[in-house]
Amino acid sequence: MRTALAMLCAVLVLAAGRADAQLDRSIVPGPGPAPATAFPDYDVLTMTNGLRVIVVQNHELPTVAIRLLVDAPPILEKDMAGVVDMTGQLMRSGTTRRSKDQLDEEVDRIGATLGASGLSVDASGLSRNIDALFELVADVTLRPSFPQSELQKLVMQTQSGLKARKSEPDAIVSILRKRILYGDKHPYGEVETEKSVGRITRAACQKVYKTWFVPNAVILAVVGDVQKDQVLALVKKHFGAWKKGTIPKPVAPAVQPLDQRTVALVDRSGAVQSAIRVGQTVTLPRTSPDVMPVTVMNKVLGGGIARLFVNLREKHSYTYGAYSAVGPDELIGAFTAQTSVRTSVTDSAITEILYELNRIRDEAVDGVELDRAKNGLSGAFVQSLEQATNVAGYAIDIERYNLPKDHFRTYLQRVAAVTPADVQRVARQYLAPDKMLVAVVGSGKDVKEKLAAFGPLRLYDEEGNRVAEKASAPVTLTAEQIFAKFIERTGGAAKYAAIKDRTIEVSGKIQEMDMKIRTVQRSPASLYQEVAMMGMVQKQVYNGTAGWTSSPMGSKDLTGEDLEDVQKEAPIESYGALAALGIKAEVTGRKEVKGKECYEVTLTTKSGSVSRHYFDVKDFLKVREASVKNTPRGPVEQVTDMSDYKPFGGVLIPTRNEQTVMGTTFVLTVDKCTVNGGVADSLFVKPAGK
Amino acid sequence: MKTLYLFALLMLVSAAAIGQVTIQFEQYDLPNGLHVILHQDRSAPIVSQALVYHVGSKNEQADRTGFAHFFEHLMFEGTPHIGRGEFFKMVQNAGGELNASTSFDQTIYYITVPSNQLELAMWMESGRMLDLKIDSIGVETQRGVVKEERKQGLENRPYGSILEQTMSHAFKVHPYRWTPIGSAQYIDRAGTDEFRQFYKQFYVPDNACLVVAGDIDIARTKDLVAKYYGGIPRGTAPIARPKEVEPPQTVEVRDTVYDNIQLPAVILAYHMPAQGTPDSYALSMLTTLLSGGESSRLTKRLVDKDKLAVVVQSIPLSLEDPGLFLALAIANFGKTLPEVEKTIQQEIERVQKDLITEAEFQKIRNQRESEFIQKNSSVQGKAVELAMYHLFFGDANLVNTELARYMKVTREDIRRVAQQYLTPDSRTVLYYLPKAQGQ
Repeated sequence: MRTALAMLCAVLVLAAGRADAQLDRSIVPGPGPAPATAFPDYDVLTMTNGLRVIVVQNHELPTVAIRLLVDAPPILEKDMAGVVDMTGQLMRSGTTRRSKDQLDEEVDRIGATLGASGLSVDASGLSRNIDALFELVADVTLRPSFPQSELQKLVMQTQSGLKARKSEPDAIVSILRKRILYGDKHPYGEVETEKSVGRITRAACQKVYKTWFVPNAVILAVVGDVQKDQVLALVKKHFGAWKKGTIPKPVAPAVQPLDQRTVALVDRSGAVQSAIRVGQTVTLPRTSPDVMPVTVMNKVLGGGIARLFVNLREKHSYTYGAYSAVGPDELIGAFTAQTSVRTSVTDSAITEILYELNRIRDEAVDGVELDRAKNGLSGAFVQSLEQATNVAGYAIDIERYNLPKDHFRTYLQRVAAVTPADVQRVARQYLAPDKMLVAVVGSGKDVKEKLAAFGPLRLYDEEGNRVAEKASAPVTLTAEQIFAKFIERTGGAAKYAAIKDRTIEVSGKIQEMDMKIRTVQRSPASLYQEVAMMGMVQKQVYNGTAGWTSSPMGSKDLTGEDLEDVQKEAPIESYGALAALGIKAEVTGRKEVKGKECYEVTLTTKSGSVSRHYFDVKDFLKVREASVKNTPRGPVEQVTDMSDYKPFGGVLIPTRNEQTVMGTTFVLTVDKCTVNGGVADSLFVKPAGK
Repeated sequence: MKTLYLFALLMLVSAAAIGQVTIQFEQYDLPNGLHVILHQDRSAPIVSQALVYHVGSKNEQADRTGFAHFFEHLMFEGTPHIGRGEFFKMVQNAGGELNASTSFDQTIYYITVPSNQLELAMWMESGRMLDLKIDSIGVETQRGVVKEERKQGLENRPYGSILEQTMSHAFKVHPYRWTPIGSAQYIDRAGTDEFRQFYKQFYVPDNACLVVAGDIDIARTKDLVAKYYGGIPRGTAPIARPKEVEPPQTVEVRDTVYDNIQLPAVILAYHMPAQGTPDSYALSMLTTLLSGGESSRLTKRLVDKDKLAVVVQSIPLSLEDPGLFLALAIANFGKTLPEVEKTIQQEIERVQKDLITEAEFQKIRNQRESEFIQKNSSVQGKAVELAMYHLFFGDANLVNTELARYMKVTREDIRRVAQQYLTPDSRTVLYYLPKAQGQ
């Protein structure tokens, strides 16, 4: 039946070919005559207080967008990184005329948007509401009240966001790039952290506001279904009384390029992909005549579907995308290539990126490829002119960076003028693959060694701080010696041997629910454990030969890993009994746990289940035990931190146990511990049936 | 009864008065069943060609999820006249851009070029509708690419799996239970012949809508459409549409997902009727009330007042078949999900109990109107909208008039749909919690 259908399909396809036969599809249609591209007209006016106003008219839709921004250089925020951004947000959170609630209500009532962040205020809505929009923008810009309560809220929200950022590989790798390339003393190298945001004060925001929000530093762009005279009247009405001020001119420190290729890694264990940035700073102000050739060069290399994309995605299928970007800048510009690839090809992907960087320096680009890049840039530019807000953006750039007035009117000619020789010259001049930063966020154990081939490698945390890689001190002790020290330290073998039975009662709260655990051990190797929570009791028992769990739902034999667990925990002194259970113990290094230098001893059971035990190198008390349990949801790590050791029957036990499972931490404390109080045999009798 | 009718009519009139900007278009069917819509907009010398196929992940078999999206990648592999990897380059050479996307119900392809290159775009797009080259090299390459796309968008991104988890928990029978990205293992299993059959069944003119919008001459464009698309034969295999009807959910589904995140999140999902139904518009208005703008109820309460969440959003996942009404929130640091959930629930109960005020009602109508007017500012956006309205509503002119359907919704409707659809028994609640370190 299937073949019959396939044959039928084949016949139909042939028929299809015939039906279309009158058209010769091998002929690629050429372009028609090039359409005229007119850069839309707009107006720029300077008010008497220095306020610059840009009006871009576009009457296709009855809408208007207002953008007000301070033409300020990047500002160094020092220990309050984030204060500039916070200033804008706080301005939007209350004025002397309107509370935040009132602002929100008025904006939504006319179906508008109003936002402020950093040194800009943006609003959009229907053009019939332009009066109300102007009033709102002016109120936020001229009369912010900086409410303390709103600041606290914003700080808390920002800190939550920064916490969330720690799990976003792209965000982490960007931070890493910034901090390493520019350094902490440069505005471009500053990174907002929970700490720096926590230091922001109302006074600091007011200072930023007073310093920068002066009309002679401000550009106001009004775009859409508006008339010039109407805009001017509104500007005079709302901003006419705004008084001129003086504008500071901060000087940013010079940025030193890297002297050799350097690798920076943030270890994100278990990551399925590596986020990669390969980049450097470039000295390329927006007014430089090299900006256009560099832009074309980047377009060939990685601007959209270009060499990097074709190589890493279409040829090697390492990634979903690979791109590069060049940002000209008055202070210091940047080049960055970026991609995210599966962990196993991290080094191969970097090799290919470097290969493409070298190729564009070493070989002249061929004419066809260059034309493609140039057509791509021209086409995108023409397409961008469709949106009046983009036109306004170009007009703002001309004002801010002192570009020639016809800078964008000549854009297409300037693209057309770039030659293969220009591309190669700027690639050689601006790109230094041997002195670039290779920043990676990925699974350290899988990529670290291979990355070292690209240059000296340093480790960083999620906020871009150096992580000292301790050359772990050699461990001369064996696992048995460490266990012996632990037994000695917690009371000595004789004291352990004197305990015939022991009952430990602990309690704690898990997500607001009370939990009680009673653990009974009887020498030589019986264990009874009872967990009570939400009125339910679950038991786990090992009687020296068999183990089972029971609950109101019935009972079940323990096998495999679960049985090994109870066997291991049953003896009063458990480390001495490991060998008999076939559990291997080996010292796997020194690690810092809870600020204490510890020996790490790894236990492996017969079934292969692994747990790690950490003993303080100074006093040999156990600080942590970590194990991985296989659950229906996959492997789950369980970590227990032990502290507050107290003696019971001459043996020290930790009375505070902090457990972390799947992101939830709860504390269990010992309420009572009875030694040699006698234990009922019935506890260890297996229930009949099932 | 009569007054009500009159009232509705008045609203329609006023809606028409608001939408002063009308998108003019012509539409017709080619003999092979391809529906064609032409819209002239000469504000910039560019033209956008959108071709939307009425096939998405809901047309997949349960053991071939991700197939439609994977096929979208194959569509760029080439034709007898366009070599492997050349499709992108040709569009770029012409100074244009292109992309595609696959959703539950449709697959969208668009090419935007300077207006003198329209014929090239048509030659390319029609060429791959007629005769796509499907070979093992292309399939292998795209297998790798799509797996990385899945990792980047879903596995390695915080909260990236929310849609997949929500759909798979809320749907038991309907193919909406999986998402367009699907499962990598199934694509590995699919053979080249399966891709060819999929192509033959779904990538046919009578299962698509073509829109050409921008700087065009209507008469010449019609000639080009006839030249390039007219000779493509109709489909012969019947087009399989899912017949599964999701039974009403009667018991709450509740689960926890552990993800590589720092802040926990909660998702509440309720079943909602298909797009285009009166109740879907009422539910959509309800989402504006709950989370449209800073003054909306959930945002004000959870983010501003109680500081329980960093973000809260309600979304109508309005689809061709009945979809989901979602409410989701990411908890503020130190806040627990039960308190976030409880507060969302309180706000839902408030809508169910009390009629919203006239002032609030007017506000959400204004917001909706503003959003409707502002959405279509690019020819590319308009092209896709026109195709979608035709394919899923059978009326491309809704691009101009759909606002009236929102304006028909009354305060009583909003309360009623909240009562009818947002019931605890029919919902799915997911908690997203951070994985432990090193997990």
